[in-house]
Amino acid sequence: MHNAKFDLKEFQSSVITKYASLLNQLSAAGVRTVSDSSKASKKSNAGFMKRIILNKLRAGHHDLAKRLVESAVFAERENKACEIINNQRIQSILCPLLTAKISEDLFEEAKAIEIILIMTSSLTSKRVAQELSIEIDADLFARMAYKIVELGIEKYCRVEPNESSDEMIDDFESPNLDHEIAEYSDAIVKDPTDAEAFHSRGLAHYDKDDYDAALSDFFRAIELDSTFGPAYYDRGRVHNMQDNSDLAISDMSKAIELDPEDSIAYLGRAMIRQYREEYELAFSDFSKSIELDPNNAEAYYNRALCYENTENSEAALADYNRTILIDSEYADAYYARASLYFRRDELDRAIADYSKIIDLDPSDEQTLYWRGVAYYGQQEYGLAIGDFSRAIDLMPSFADAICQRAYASMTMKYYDLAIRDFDRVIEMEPENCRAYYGRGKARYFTHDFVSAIEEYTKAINLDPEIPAGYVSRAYAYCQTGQKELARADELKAIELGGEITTPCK
Amino acid sequence: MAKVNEFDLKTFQSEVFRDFKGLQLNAAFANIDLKRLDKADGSFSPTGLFARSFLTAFRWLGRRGQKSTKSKPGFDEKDARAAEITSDPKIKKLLCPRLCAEILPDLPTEAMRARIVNVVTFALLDTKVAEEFSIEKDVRLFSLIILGVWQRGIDTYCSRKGR
Repeated sequence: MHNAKFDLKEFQSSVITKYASLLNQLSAAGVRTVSDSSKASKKSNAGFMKRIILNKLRAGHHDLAKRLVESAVFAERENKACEIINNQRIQSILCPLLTAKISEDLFEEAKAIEIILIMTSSLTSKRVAQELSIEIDADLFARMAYKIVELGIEKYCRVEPNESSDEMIDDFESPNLDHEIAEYSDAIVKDPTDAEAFHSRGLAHYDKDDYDAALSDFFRAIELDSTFGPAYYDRGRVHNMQDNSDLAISDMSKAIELDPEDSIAYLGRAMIRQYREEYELAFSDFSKSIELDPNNAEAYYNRALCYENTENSEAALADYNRTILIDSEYADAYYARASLYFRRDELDRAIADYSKIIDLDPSDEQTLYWRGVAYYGQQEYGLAIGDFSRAIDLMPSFADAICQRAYASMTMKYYDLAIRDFDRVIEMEPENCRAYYGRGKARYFTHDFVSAIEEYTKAINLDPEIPAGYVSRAYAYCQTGQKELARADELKAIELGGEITTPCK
Repeated sequence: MAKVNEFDLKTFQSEVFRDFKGLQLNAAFANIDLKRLDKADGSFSPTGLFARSFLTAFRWLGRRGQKSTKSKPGFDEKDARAAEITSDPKIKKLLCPRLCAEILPDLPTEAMRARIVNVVTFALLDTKVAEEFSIEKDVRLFSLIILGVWQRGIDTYCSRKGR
């Protein structure tokens, strides 16, 4: 781990020097390819090597023993470097930057240097080092760079095709509801007074989203047995789905009247009341439901949402905590708690919760996106790019993630990647003001002031009240010597609440 | 299939990169400031004596470096041609936007070297540019062009203003 006075430029120089000496070392040893060095690494079984070295020492071959020790250390470092670069999270941080920045046309020395610059600028923050267990060591980084150079960026960053979310939904085996409905229908034919059979068939219709058929079956079940509480509860759910919340509450209340210990009925009524923004009544029902069943995570979670609606974030947080205590895999509760932490600017805690959700479901692109935004807020741009990239891999049309990755890349001075991503966003969303503004900034930083002005103008046309657009365009006008236009934009920016740090002279 | 005499840009760039580094080293030796040596000569302190022997050694190295570099055929002509190319306003206009965008002050020196080689070779080896300005595909010429820009500094060469 590096200390507080870590100097990136100095570290980059050390890695470049180490890389050059590593190349000399490998060339002297006759190792020309990554496969050669991998073979050497595989041979370096620690116990086996230790025995050989001891034997050589005993036999008085000290030089040979020394060389073997060096070779064993070398192999160990090689393995560590391989392990790091093959980590999926690290690949998702490095690959977008590598593929955007390093073209195949680059000459060998420049390619290696650019790889080193990308690795060192994105993997050396304290947080990355801690979260991904990377030692900030010039020799290790040099070896990592060597591995990527040898492998080639295209091969290193080759993405295995992912199963899309839609395909995954298709693969999901839904219960055979038609079969269930047929079975209950048979039971009803055999006994047309069987309220349970009507209720069960109604539930199957409900699960098939056939609310009219479900409602008809629940009505019949209640007709046959007017004390059948669950049928009232489920009919209430159908009424709610059909936007008849009055009828829904009435049915839920009847279910409670029939069974005052029915915590689920209280929960159902509470949720409808919450939806109707009748928060006091909803609280009362949630609390009753919790009193009847203190281990109902759902009730705590929904009461927490209710607290959030009434802006009582402390109480909401307590209920989210309780939900997670009861069910440590309640992803929605982690997500809601993370959002709450995020709004309070407690980004470390938000990240911890987002990470938990990602552990539970690594293909949750929304959570990856939000964790990326939280990392961005912490100025951990490498980690942010990693998360945005994973989200984009999972959902290539995720414009917000692409746009946010562009901003993160721009902050890391990878303007090529930023512009490429902004292009992608604008192609998908031709009226995305943030993307035009961002592309303007990237153009400005690459000293293309004329294009920057064009981009800022597009952003301003889409949102004439954007102070940052006028501020930035004023700077760009100033750079092109159009001082009158710069001053006009400065005045407009100030009028809109923007701040001009260096007026055009 | 590759042609026998096909120009290999990447190899050329690698050669320029190495040659440019060599030239830089020689230039550094050759430019050991004589004033510093004179100052050391006037001092009788042990430090002064040390500095004197140190700088004398460097001056020798500098002369040797300068001699070995300058002894290459056509050096002076190439140096003059490089100066002519770098000072051409059209070339400046061509190089400066890329140089300003790529050569960032917080880069380590070796990275700056690699990028400047990349920017200059790409820009000046473009067929149209090379034809218009009659720029030869000569490693030493390119090294001298790059050295000329490097020694002036991007800010001065491109009259870069900060804001």
